Parts: sequence; structure tokens; C-alpha cells
Amino acid sequence: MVDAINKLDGGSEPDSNLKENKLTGQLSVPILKTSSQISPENDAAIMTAQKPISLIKIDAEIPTKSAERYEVYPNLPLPEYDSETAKAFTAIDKMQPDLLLFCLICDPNIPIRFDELKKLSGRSLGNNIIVENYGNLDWPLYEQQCLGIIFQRPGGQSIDKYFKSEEFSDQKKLEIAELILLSSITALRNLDKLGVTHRSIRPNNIYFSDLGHEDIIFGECVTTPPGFSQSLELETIERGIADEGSRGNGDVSDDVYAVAATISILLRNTSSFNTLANDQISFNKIIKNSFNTLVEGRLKSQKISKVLEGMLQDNIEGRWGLNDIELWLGEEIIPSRGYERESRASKGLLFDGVECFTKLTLAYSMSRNRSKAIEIIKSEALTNWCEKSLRDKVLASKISQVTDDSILQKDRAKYADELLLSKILIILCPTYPISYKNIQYTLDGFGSGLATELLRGGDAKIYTESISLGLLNFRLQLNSDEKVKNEDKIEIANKISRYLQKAGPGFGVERCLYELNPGCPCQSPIIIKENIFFSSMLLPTLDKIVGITDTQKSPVDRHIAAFIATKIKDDLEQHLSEIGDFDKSIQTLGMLKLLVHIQNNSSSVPLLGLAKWVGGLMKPSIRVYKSRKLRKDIESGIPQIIRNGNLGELLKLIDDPSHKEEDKIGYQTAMNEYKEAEEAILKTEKNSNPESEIAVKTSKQAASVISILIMVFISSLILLAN
Amino acid sequence: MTEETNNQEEKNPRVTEETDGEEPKKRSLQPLLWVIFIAIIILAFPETVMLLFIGMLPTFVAFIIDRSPQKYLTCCVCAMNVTGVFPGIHELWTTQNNIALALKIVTNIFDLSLMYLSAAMGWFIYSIVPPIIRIFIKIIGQQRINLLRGQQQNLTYEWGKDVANIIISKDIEKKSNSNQQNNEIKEKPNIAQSSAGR
Repeated sequence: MVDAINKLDGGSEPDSNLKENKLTGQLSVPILKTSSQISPENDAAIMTAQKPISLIKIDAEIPTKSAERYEVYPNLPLPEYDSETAKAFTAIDKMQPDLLLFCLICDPNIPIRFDELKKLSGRSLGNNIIVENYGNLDWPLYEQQCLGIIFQRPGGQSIDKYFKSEEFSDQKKLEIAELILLSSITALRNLDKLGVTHRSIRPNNIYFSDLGHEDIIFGECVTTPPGFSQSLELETIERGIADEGSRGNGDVSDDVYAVAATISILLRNTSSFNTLANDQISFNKIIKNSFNTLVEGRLKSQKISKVLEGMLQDNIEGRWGLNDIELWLGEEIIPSRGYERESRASKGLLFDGVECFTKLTLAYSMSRNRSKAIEIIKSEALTNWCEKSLRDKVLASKISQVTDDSILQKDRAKYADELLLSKILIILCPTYPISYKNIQYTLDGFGSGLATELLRGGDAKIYTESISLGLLNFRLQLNSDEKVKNEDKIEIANKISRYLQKAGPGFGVERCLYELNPGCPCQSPIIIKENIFFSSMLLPTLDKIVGITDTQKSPVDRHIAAFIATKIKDDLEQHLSEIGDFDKSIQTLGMLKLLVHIQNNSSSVPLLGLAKWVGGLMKPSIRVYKSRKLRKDIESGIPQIIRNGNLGELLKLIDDPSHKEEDKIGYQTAMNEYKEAEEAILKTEKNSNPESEIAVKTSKQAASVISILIMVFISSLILLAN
Repeated sequence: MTEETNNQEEKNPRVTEETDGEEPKKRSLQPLLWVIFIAIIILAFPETVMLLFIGMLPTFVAFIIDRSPQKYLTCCVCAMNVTGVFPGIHELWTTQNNIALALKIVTNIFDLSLMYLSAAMGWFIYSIVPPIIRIFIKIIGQQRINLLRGQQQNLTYEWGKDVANIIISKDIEKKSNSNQQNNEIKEKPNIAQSSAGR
């Protein structure tokens, strides 16, 4: 058993040492250097991390250290399980030390499929790799918290290696290809039951589940957006044209296509397309169709060619489903499917050196050369071609209508030509991704495309522009059937359009990011390194980072505001508008109210650090009070509250209505007193002037009185003397 | 006025004339009564009247010179003049009380000097005391202003500079009002000119 495990581990000496250490409980594991794929920088970083790193379980509740069940060894990489963007490392489950596990460390700059991960975690889905658990770990290579996903190791090697091996006969390989087909039925059905598509089926992501090569399992599908790291051969024409982050979840038919493409690559046993540019692969598929491009003439077995032809049908209605494959494997006859073939023009339209006979070819070529495309639209060559050569008067009239509308709106729309071209491309070929400027996204790939762009530090302006210009809505409401079919999507498109129209915190592109990608960690520069997925993790994290962040800045920036607004479904409009206010005092108070709202909703854990941070920012809000004495009283009350770590009490102290009323009345009284004093000063100044009438009069009166007093005094003396 | 009151005035013209005629009669009688009164006094106390007349001459002069309605100068001079005359009067009334003694007193250079010097003293008080009093008034006023400014400072310290905004805003209001008035005044000649031009 131990030998078998060691063999699975790669049979290396250090792994067997690990096994011993697991048993003894000592975790001083020697550094393993087996991978040529690890770069020197990675090596250096891993070398520094000698100790195993604990995985901290994350879920909607507060993460706790008690859940440190899994440990990951940064010095024990397992390159054979690497995905395209995530590196694999040895992991152990302390509760089941004999279980062979590996951990994929997700790249924080690539969005992951978090919803799918939650659905798959802890489930044993036949013919799919088992996701044991997931959580954050402090990964030295990225110098931040990263999502680590723990998988059970497959029992056997990857299919890719098997097919490249000279050891096995072609007949055996054909049998394995059939085994892949058989396993794919179970695997994809199991995923479909959970509403998950795989979208990462490729030769190096399929493994034998045993050493006897008797069963197959599909590898991970959650570390990248759907179809992200797929070669264009493995993607359908429509999804392959889209940008790698914007290919969308798709459905089971996309996975069926990928299975067939994988088998064709494996059976060809060459990397023939590596020399072709992505554009050329897509173009060849459009011109010749996918089956002819990937398979025809290259496979020796006619039997398997038949199933691949069905599975690689470009028209989704004609493509074989899982039931068809099942029937085929049972050697039953598959009824042919009727679907509308692509109409071909009687005369080709010469565009960019290519004579295009179909709408699909033309639409693809136009999306690749946009300036020339606009020329043929404006010269009406396209309309004429549609009407005369393609004989599609409806299409021609739609094109001319959109063109006329665009000419009318040209003065108003900044990017009228780009918008016109995008609309024409949608009309020409509605199944193709939406193409605007240099981006292409599928209907279900907008969110992941936006996330990919933002997480990579790119500019999402073109994405937001396409929404603001109503391109997504135009596609979703192309005709009445589409309107009914896409009701939910139209609602989402309208919602994100509303978010984009609002510029304040909690809205804009940040809100779109979190609304469309519920599994996207908070991208605020303040906490980006903490990899926060849930609002419940937010306050404890802000509390934790107080010592290492600039506490002069607000703990609620645009990203955090949008993250909170997305995760907490309560009505936070009032708080968000306060945070966006120009008045610093209202802004600060709004921030505090929002944090209090989260604290009230999540937990009653004291937040000493955060309370200290927020308390230090309260000066503008305290300055709302006019009375200096009241300000001092409030300021002196803050340290006491900070020691309790209760943000609610802090809000109560600062935003106390009785204090406000008292201050208002006091201020009014003070103003009146000031006014009265000013009036008295003016009066005194006027009267005390030596030249003033009253001073003159008073002084003369005084002289008279003095004279009279002298008179009385002397007269009295005389009388008394006699 | 209403028509009724007008009618009433028309009906009783005699009554109003009669009531109006009583006042001038009283006024014309007043000097006569005074003359009679003074004549009685002169006849009853000739020695006292003579002494007072000669002794109080500076007061009469001051009365004539003093044009102010309140007659403070007269009051000062009179009070001090009385002080100077009082010993003579006292001597007259307490001894023989006859013309001869009165003449003796008014011809005595010492007594006469006392009367006139004391009147001069009154004049002196009138010239010296008011400026001094005015200085005192100024000092007291300044002290009061300081006290009030101190109160204002305390208010500003406790409530901030904004507490004085009410004064500033009033000043601004006043200034804007005066500017408005000036503009109106400036505009008026233009209007006059334009109407003249027409």
C-alpha cells in the first residue's frame, strides 16, 4: 500500500519521508525539487517557506483557526496536477492522514468559479475529481492570502501522458478514447444535476482513476473562468472567438464538444495546431467546420470518427448530446437531426482579401478588421450583398435600418461607428459573441470577462461602455423570441446599466463586478491581500489589518462599499449616498453607519482595532457639533468605546439626537447673545464718544449737580456754624 | 376727516372760537401777574431784593449768554453765585434786615468779591468738569466694550467663529441695501435726464 502511494506521489524519496513524518507527527519536510516548470523566483519563495501552511476554512460564517484541518507543503510541489493558472502542492488532512491530497493554489489575479466550487466541495461526483475542501492560506509566493483548493489525488496518471507514451498500442488507445466517452457521460450528467458545466476539459486535465487504466476522472474546473485556459481547438467556434475570460459557462453541449476535441487531439497524438494562430484555428473552423478542421483524414478509426463528427457539430441543434453518445456506445443507430443549414450566397463578398459566402465568415472577418467593416457598411455594399447575393431581404432591411439610426444619432454618440458595427455583427450572426472595439464576450461571459480585466489590473472601460451604449440589451432583445428567452438576462443587464449610471461609492463598475461575479474576492487595495469572499469576513479582516494599513484613510472605499452593497441585500442606499457626499462629516458618519449595519448583521465580536481606526476618523463628524465643550465630551468618550470595540456605541455617541438638539438650541442662544453684545458695543461706542450728544449732556449735568452740591454743602456749613 | 366731523365744526364755530380765545387771554395775563408778584416782593422785601439783584448779577449775565435749552451754565453759575450771596443774605436776615445793612453789604468789597468770585467759580466748574466727565465716560465705555468683547470672545471660543455669522450676514445685507439705494439714486438722474431729453 505504501509502495503504491509512493508511486502515486511520483515515487520520490522525499514523499516517502513525508509519509513517515505524517505518522510521527513531525513536519520537518525536506525540500523537493522535481519540477522543471517552477521558475527560480518561485523556487526561492518556496524555499523560504519551510513549514507547512494551514488552510483556513472560509464560508459565510467567520473564519476560525479551529478549522485548520488541512496543511499544505509549499516545498512539495506536484506539477503533474498543476492547472493552467494554479500550481499544485502536497496537502494532508490531519483527520485522515492516509488520504492522498493535493492543493491547487489559485492565482489571485484570475477570477475563479466560486459558485461552482461551493457546489462541488465535499461531494463525490462519479468520474469527476473530488474537491475535499477549500480555504485561504497565507501563500509566500504571492505574499498574500490565496485560495487553496484541496483535491483528492487521482489514482492514475494523466491521459495526455498515456497517449504520448509509445508503450501502448493504437487499439488500446482507441479503447481508452471510448472509455473517455463513456466516463464523460457520467461525469457531465453528474455536473449537470448540480447546474455546473465543466468547461475545462482538455487532454492534460483528464486522469485515470486507477493504476489499471480502467476508469477515467475529469480534473478540476474551478480555478479559472469557464474556458479560460482552453486551447481554441477545444472551444466551440462561438466561445472560441470570445476573449479568454469572457467565454461564459455555456452548457453541457460545450463540454460534449470539448470531450470530442480532446479525443481528436489525443488520437492524432500530435500538437499539429500549435503552429497555427488562434485566429487561423477559428477561421478554419468557420470555413471548413470543426469536424473537418480537427479530425477529418487524421484518424484511422471510422467508428470513432462518426461519434466525433456528431459531437463536433458546429450547429448546436445538430450536435450530439450525452444520450446520443450513450446510444452510440451501445452500438445503436443515431437518428439524424434536422437543422437549418447556413445559407450560402450566390456571389461572394470580397472583404479584406477573402471572398465571403456566408454570414458567419463575413461576420468573423468584419470583427477582425473593424475599420474596413465600417466602410462596407456605409457604402451599402453589405446591404446590397445581403439582398442580392444572399437573398435575405429581412436581414438587408434590418442592416439598413440600424445604419440609418446610427447616422441620425451620430452627433450624439461618441462611438457611433463602433456601435453600428457591433450591432450589424449581432444582426449578421446572433450566436457569435458581442464584439465591441477590441473586446468580445458571450452573453453569459460578460461578468467573468469584466472580472478578468479588472483582476489583471486592466481597464474595464470598454466593457462598461458596451453596456452603457445598450449593446447587451440590443443583443438580448434582438427579436421577440429572444426577449422571452432572455427575460432574466435583460433584467440583469438593466440592473448593471443602472449601477453604471450611478457614480457614487457602492455603484459603478465595482458594483457590477461583485454583482456579476458573486465569488469574486473584494478587490479593495486595503484588503486585497486578505482574499475576502464574504461580507462576514470583512469586519474581522479590517480589524486585523489595522497595524499594517494607513489608518488615515477610510476603511470603506469604493470596492468595499460595492462589495457590501452586493453581499448584504438590505436597503443601504441611504448609507451609500452619505458615503458619497461631498461633506466630509456626512461621509464619515455614513461610513460608520454602514460598518455598524454590518456588525449588527454579522456578529457581536468586539472589533478593537477597527473601532480604534474608525474612532480616529471621526473628527469631521464630531465637528458637526458647534459646541466645543460637547465636542470635547464626545472626544473624551471615544477611547472608552474603542476599548469595548463596539461600533454601534460609537455611532450612538457621535450621532446622538439629544446631543444634536442640545447643540442646536445652545448655538441659537449663543448667536443671540453674540448679537446682543454686538449691539451693546455699538451703542456704548456711540455714547462714550466725547463729542456725542449724550456725553456732552451728561457731563454738563454732572457739572450742574456738582455746583448744586457745593452750594448745598457750603450753605449747610454756614447755617451750622451759626 | 369724515363729513360728519366737518359738519359738526360748521355747526359749532362759536364754541371753538371761545375755547381758542381763553389761552391767549391766560398768556397775556401771565406777565402782568409776574409784574404784580415781583412788585409785591420788591415792596415786601426791598433789602433782600436789592442784595440779590446786585449779588446775582453774574447769574443774570450767564442766563442771557447761555443759549442752550437746558441752561446748564446758568445752573452752575447760579448755584455757585447763591453760595457766594448766601452769607450776606444770612447776615441780613439774622440781624437788622434793613436797606442800610443791605447797602453796607453790597458796598463791602470783600462781600461783593465773594459773591462774584463764587459765581466765577461756577463758570470755572462749568468749563472744567464736563471734559473730565467726558473722559470718564469714555473710559467707562471702553471698559464696558472690553467686557462685551470678552463675552463675545468666550462665545466664539465655545461655539466657533460661525456664531458671529449673524452679524456678518447682517452687515452684508446692510451693505447690499445701501448699494442698492446708491444705484437707485444713480439711476434717478438718468431717468430725469431721459425725461428731460424727451
